[in-house]
Amino acid sequence: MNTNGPFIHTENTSFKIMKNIFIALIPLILFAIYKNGLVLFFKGKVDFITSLYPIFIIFICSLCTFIFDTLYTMLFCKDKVDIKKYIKTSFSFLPGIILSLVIPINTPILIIILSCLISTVLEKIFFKVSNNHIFNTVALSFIIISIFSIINGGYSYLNQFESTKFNNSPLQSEIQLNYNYDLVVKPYGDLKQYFVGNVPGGIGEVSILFCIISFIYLIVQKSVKYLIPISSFVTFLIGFTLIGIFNNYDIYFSIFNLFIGSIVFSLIFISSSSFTSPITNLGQIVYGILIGILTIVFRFVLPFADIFMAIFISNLLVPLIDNICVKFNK
Amino acid sequence: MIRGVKLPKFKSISKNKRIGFYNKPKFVYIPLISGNDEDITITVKKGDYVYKGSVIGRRKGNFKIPINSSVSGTVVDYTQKVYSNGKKVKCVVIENDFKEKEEIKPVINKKISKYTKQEFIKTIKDCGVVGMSGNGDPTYLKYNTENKINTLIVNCTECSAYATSDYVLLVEKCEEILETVDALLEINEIDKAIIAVKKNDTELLNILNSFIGTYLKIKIVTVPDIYPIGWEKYLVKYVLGINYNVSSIEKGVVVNNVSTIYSIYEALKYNKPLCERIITFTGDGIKKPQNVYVKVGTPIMEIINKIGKTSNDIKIIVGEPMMGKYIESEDIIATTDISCVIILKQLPQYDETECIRCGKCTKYCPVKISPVLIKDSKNNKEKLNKLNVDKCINCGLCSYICPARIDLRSIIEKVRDN
Ligand code: SF4
Ligand code: SF4
Repeated sequence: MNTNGPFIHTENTSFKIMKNIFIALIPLILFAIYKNGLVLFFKGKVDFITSLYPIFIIFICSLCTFIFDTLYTMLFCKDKVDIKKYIKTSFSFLPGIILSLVIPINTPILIIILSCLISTVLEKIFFKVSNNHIFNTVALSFIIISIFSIINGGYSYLNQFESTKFNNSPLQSEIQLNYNYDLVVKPYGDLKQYFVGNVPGGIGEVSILFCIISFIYLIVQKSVKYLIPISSFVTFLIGFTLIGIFNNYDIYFSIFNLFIGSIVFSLIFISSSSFTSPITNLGQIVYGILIGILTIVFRFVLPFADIFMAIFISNLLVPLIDNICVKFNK
Repeated sequence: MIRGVKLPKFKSISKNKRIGFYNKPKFVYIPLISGNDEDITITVKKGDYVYKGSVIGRRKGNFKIPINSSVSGTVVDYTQKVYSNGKKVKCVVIENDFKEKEEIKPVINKKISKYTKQEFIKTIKDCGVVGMSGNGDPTYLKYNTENKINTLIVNCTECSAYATSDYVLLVEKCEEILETVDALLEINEIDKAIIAVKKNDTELLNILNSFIGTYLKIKIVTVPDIYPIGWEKYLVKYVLGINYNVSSIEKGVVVNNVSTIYSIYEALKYNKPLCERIITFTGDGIKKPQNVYVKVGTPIMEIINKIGKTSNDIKIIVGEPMMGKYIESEDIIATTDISCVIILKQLPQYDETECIRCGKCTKYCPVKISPVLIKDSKNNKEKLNKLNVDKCINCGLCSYICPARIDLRSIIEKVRDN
């Protein structure tokens, strides 16, 4: 019984916020199933059972993060946590869904399981030590998958239909050929195709249109730290526009780079994850700018995991950003 | 920038109901406390006959403000009753003879604006007029200053989600309140008065506008409907754009709420001591939510029983839902600082979950401190000093807004007390 008051509370609960994030992911989940499953089935490339593969990956990813998170809590935190309540309120399957939408369709299941296991356990251990969620498990899982991918010669982003038309994803093309509209952008269609998501990429993140719709939904529902993605977008666009001007690239260069490599999706769903981002408005802007800058840097240094490395490193700086920015909380 | 949130409103439950009267308690229990000061000289003894308004105690120290009886009758005992802050205080028990006899005082035959400043200060001091929405400090202190007072702000914002006692008072006594504000300007040579009303409170605005025409120095200013806009510091900042440190008098500003203004009116007009007030009785635990005119010292349970409960097991919250107190004891009595009593069938249940670091507590805290960082650093004294824990005004907004239902205010209170 709450005897201390206040005796009224906002209707917005953590549960509702997590539920809203899940709802915001639904269009992207459906898009993933459509693009990497149903389209292939209707084009006669795969049978019906095989067309359900995206659902299988999404299920495996979410099951992994849920099981590893819950198991760890049951084994090591059972005295502090009411497990039943924890399972009901933790939404620990959400990172799995988010991860499943950014990875290549051809990622081996064993690698997915391993990456989820390592990132969840590491995150929990660091949390136990520092009492802070030091880094985002999705970002770390993706980095782990990328490492395995590099070791194994690269997991292809192309589904069975795309592999009959292209050799690479747009990002891989840009890495190999350097930016050139005709060679890198045009083969996949014009930027409208990128906007709707009709190009190769992660399983469900390629539709910028659906990402924006989800983002608007989250803002309306007050369930996202929107300043982070917005400041990152702006930084990224300014940075790439300057690089474009410096290299005499056309005006599509910055937009193209924003549209590929899971940038939009990751900024909305991973960078703004409330557990691992700053609490003040100023902190969120600083953090967003930092992610924007680091993403630009990593696009040239480590392009396969650029945004994820940027988020991972920025996560580590969150306590520092919080401590500094809270002084300017005026 | 002013921070705050729009609270859910439950005012319609009691707003347009007729004001009830409960003026026949068999016993009243006059608390021997003034503000938070329990150092009171008792001026009556058992067996004494007292009139309505008789002084039965007086605050010691510099502010020798009287405590008055709210009925005529006989002092029969001393006892402990529960005060609005939830603590037990010593009370003088007076058996009501229901005659409402008052001491014979010289009849005041002048307009209330014709008081000199000294007469004014003396009158409101002798009548025991105190702030009726805050900490109950004597009101004369605000006016008894060498500083030039340039603005009087009348706080009509009634921030609470439930209380309508100020609203009904304004509806009933609008002319008297405006007359008093005008008199205060004249007596204290104040340049202007501002009546602060929430901008969506159209009924109140209409009433005020229909009476204000002839008072050229009184202006109505609308303020946003956010909590805690009624907090004095916020109101002064919003209305005048002024910040102050300890008291608004530093900047020549006096803030009074409507009920206090009306008790000044009664003091000036009738030499009537402050011993009655309107209290909102509301909530789902009471049959007919309404505003009731009550005598100070009346047992709250008596009034609730008279109105009728909807359940045998009710929960009483004294004050408004953000800062009010849950009072378990049925010994609570009516006092001048209680504007609202919320009677619920049961208290709301909230399950606390893990902090999701959404930052909302920091974003909305009106004094711009970070409740979540204070919570995280509760064992680190050095860090706590930097986080300005002492600035907290206990408004409860952080606990209200927290989606994880963490009772941050209590954590901050504990941290501060250690
Ligand atoms: S409002 Fe609650 S959940 Fe959000 S940061 Fe503050 S304490 Fe954490
Ligand atoms: S209770 Fe204190 S910390 Fe919480 S919002 Fe109010 S002033 Fe800020």
